[in-house]
Amino acid sequence: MENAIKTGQIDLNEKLKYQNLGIVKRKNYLGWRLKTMSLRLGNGRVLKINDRTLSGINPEDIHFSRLDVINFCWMLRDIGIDLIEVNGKIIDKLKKMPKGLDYLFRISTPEDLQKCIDYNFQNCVLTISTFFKYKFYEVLKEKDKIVTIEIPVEVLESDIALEKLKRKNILKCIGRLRITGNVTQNSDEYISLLNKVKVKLNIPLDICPENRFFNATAITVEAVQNAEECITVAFLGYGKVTGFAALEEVITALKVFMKFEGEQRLKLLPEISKQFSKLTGIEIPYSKAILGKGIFKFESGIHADGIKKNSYTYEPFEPESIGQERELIIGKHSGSRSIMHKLKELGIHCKKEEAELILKDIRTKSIENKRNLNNHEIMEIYENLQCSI
Amino acid sequence: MFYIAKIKEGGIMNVNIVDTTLRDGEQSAGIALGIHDKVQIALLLDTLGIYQIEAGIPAMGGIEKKSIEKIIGLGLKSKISVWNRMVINDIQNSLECGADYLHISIPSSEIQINSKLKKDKNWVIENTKKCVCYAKERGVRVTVGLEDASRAEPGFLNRIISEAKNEGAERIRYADTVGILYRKRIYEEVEKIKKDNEIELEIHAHNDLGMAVANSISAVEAGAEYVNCTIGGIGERAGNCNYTQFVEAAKGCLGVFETVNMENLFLIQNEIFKIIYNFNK
Repeated sequence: MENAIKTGQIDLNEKLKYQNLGIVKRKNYLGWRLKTMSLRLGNGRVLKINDRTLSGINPEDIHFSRLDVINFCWMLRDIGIDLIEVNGKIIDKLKKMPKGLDYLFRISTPEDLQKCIDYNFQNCVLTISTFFKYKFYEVLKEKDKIVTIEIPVEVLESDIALEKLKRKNILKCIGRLRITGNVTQNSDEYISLLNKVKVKLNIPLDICPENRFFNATAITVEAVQNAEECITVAFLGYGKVTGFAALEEVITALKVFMKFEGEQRLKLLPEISKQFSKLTGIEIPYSKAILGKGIFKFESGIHADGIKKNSYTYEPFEPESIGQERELIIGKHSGSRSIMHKLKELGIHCKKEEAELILKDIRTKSIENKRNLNNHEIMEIYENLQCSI
Repeated sequence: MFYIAKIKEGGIMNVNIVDTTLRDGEQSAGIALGIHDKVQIALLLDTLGIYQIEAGIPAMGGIEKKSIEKIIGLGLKSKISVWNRMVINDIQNSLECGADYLHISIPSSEIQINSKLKKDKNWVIENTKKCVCYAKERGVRVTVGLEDASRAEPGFLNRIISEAKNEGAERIRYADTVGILYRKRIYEEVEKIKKDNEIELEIHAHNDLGMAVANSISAVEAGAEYVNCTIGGIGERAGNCNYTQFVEAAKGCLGVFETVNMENLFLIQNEIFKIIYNFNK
């Protein structure tokens, strides 16, 4: 078992099992070389996912160690990321990126182009304006770089712009066209636009919508449902001013709508959250979809009753499937059954009549404190009832 | 807010906000509002020109019912609605409050009907008729909610809508109770419901997969006239459609709310947050 770990050829299921057994210390991922973790969807289609979280971080603003980045990169790989996007600032800080992973280097200046060559990044990405400004075409071709060009969707809406792109012959050196920008079209209009671009330019796409209108996740998922085979996301949608499609939302949505191999990888999300917070200094919001600590806490009597009978009544998927846990909270909206259930968790058999008697006190105290009650407070109210009987 | 939107395929798009901060929002685990809190929030929502405020659940009795009565007593510009299960006692409590609208929530998916209620579809239909009729006979406006509609069989949804409408319900709420909709799907479902039934439609989207705003926009594009939002997107689990985000998205994608001042919106939102999260204490 330990030999398998040392040689590095081990799949994720086994790795998680070993770690749970305490065989391997989770100091870092160095030495692990997992089997390919690319997302294979239910119909056998492989989805390429790029992650641009790191290129959104300014190393000068936040203090993080090389080890923090290494851990984060390996976690991204484990969850299914194919190419990890980095930029000149990140490489200046780290000096070298972890081996065994694949990267997409962002070129914004001639200095970045030189770094791309010096550090031997095979894949690079640059905006179309950068591409035209510096005319990197010859160098990129000579160095056999696989180039992704970014174009905002707003530009591609224009037939004239599409024609110009086609006539400029830049497509010959592009491996992929990444479509960024903010989508305002409805579902049919957007898919029509993608199809038009593919027919006109005959080039693979990379879908990377921005989130100004809070629809980036929806757009990205929609593109995958329409057979797009490459997307770019960011953890928590982090980056730029308005952000991108959130990795955790997209991948969970794909699990719900399309299924994929190795869905248990989603259990890594809480770990990735912690690592992300370490890198960026950002705390995950309490009710953030998929990641928030509060999203599987339930209080309302109707919901609590439904969940007890069948958790799928009020949950889209099991919390454990994304590394979370369900928790019953007692507060203003609790019913007597929830109180009985909570007291049972605390080792007390409470009768329904007793629960109904303390319900009013529970609600009053919850409103006074403007929050749910903790176990101690619930016990105290119950004990006061016992004393008064 | 009631804004006449850009002309879309010859039709005019109306977008009315139904705010459910004081009901679904407050159901967010750990939030507990008193009478004064709810009244203050209602007053702030009213300043935003919200079309309708869903003030709570009178059947909870006690402080909850008193707060709803106080809110109704304010005589706000916003309409006030109250939420009910498909239970006559709930409706009786609501009638005592004097709200503008009674909303009756009908569990519509197999899992809700079988696992939660331990009943069958016929029972649901009969009770829908009974409850809507009971409320209408007492002179109140009724809206009906299709709870867990996104996991319900479309034919059954149509049955509920048809029966509810026959009894006098004037609006249907499509509830994506566990947040599993996506844009194309909600567009097609709303379009079909509007085509098959001449009735106003309201979208209630949850944010479990981070798509509540996008789904709500899509529903409006397909013809839904009302959108449920909460301040800060608070609500069960990952919450509901975030009000300020929806307004921002609607401005960009639908061309509505052009005169709405976002700065003012954020100011009001922050005041409401202070009340909900007890910032000043």
